[in-house]
Amino acid sequence: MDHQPSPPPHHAARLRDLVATGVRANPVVTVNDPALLARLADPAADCSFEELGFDSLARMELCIWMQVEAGFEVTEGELLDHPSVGALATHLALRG
Amino acid sequence: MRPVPPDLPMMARVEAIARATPDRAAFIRADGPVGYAQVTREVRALAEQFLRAGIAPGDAVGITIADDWTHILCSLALIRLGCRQVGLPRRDPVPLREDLARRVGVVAIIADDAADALGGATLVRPDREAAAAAADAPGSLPPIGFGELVMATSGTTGRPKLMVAREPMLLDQAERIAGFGGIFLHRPSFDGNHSKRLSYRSLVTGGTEVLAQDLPPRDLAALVARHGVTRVHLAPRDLATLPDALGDAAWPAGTSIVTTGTRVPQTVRRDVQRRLGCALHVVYGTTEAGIVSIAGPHDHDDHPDSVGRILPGVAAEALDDAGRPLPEDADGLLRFRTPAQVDGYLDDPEADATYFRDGWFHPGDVGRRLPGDVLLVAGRADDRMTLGVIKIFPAEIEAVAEGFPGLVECAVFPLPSAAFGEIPVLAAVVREGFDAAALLAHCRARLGMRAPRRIVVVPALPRNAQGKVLRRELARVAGGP
Repeated sequence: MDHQPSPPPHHAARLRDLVATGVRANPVVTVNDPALLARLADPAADCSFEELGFDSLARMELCIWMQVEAGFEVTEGELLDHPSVGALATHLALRG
Repeated sequence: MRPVPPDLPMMARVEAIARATPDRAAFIRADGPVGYAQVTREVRALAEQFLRAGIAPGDAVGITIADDWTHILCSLALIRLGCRQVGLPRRDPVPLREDLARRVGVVAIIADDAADALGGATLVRPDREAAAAAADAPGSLPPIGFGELVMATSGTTGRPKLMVAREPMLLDQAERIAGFGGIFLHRPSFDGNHSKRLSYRSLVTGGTEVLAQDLPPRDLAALVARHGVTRVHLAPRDLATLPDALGDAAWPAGTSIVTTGTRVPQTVRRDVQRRLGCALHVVYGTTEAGIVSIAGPHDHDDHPDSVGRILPGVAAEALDDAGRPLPEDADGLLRFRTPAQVDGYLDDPEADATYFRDGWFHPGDVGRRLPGDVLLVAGRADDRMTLGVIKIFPAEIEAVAEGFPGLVECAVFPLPSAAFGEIPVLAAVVREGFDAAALLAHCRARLGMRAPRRIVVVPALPRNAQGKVLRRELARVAGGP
């Protein structure tokens, strides 16, 4: 059972928005599908990195983007363990 | 004029030219030309003054003279005596000058002002008026000696490394440079030792130096035209801005430009030649080894990393990690051996062991040779960063970024990352209309994984006194998220 406390909702929403921005800025994978783009933009929806077409290089670029643009050091392992936009945002909110 | 044997002391060569062509202009000053005979006469008179003041051949002597013309004459007088000279310019703070004077063992300082005295060294004031009025051939001078010049390399950390340049280094490639134009001038922004060596090289080849104040580019072009200057030396940064700064003013036909630098961007080189219609020579070398290669007017469309063709008599090799020479086309740490190179640093055995080994100078640059004696330099091994498993040189990114609309200048520095090693970030000095996202995309399209991941706009790039970008300082001021 997952007994992790829930992050403050506004913080998690901000991080979800940040991760979605990082996905859209990814230099390796360009998301063109309108349905995926709509889900990326919808705070209530989620998108897995797999369906976004992320491979190892795209994951690395997202990690780099998170560090250089937002100051979050994220490892590729954390992306694999939290394999969607929403899951990563929640993880980062809890991790601090 | 008969060629003067190069194994004679420098001032013997200059005096031979003065005897053969006494009225030939050695310098052109604002108030007119100064012939070789007048220069050598004044130099002998100053040398005699220095002797009378107690300076002996072989002594180490500092010079703190702000006036260029007086400085040149005093410098030549010390060379004629066979002294070891070191520039102690007033722009350097007193503690730095004191340290330099102590390390070199300075026994006298040539200066106009008693306030420039340092430690126990004798202060010697040159009497220019007496020297200018002196009759020819004072009888009491010793035979012409071989002079030495103490040169410093900046390094980006720690104290300057000092070396003693003997006459072969002072006159390194003099004939080749004279071949780019016998009447020359340089922007005074060049550091003292570089300027002095340009003057020495001109004098032993019977050249003429036009002494100019720092002028805006349009006035520089007018001065060049007025005096028939055939060769202008510019620092790389002045070169890059010259075409725009000239506006609709023409660059005088037939006047070549020479610049010196580890890497002058290919875009700049092509731009200057195309817009100014002149021959551009880019000299590559190190203070320690002298000139290694020159990229001439027809070489600038070659590889972007090309520093031109290795000069005859110069050996250049790329080495593998075990220190074995690599074949052509393989990247490695470069080493050079030249007829002009210094023996080592003055008082730094640790640096000697790093940079001078087995008769070669190891500059710490990475590069390779191509067929036809072409040399490519990718950048400094110290600056090389590792992103994941990819090796990236700041220089390769800077070369792609330079010339982008709105970008004035840039430098790449590493942002440390626990997961990926070092992330390349581009610090940019920009003007209106600059689009950072467009430059990131431009770099990505050309460099792929080697592209910078972020652009940080900064008001200026931190540089040391020699103009070298301080990448660590840059990372400190611009490295935050």
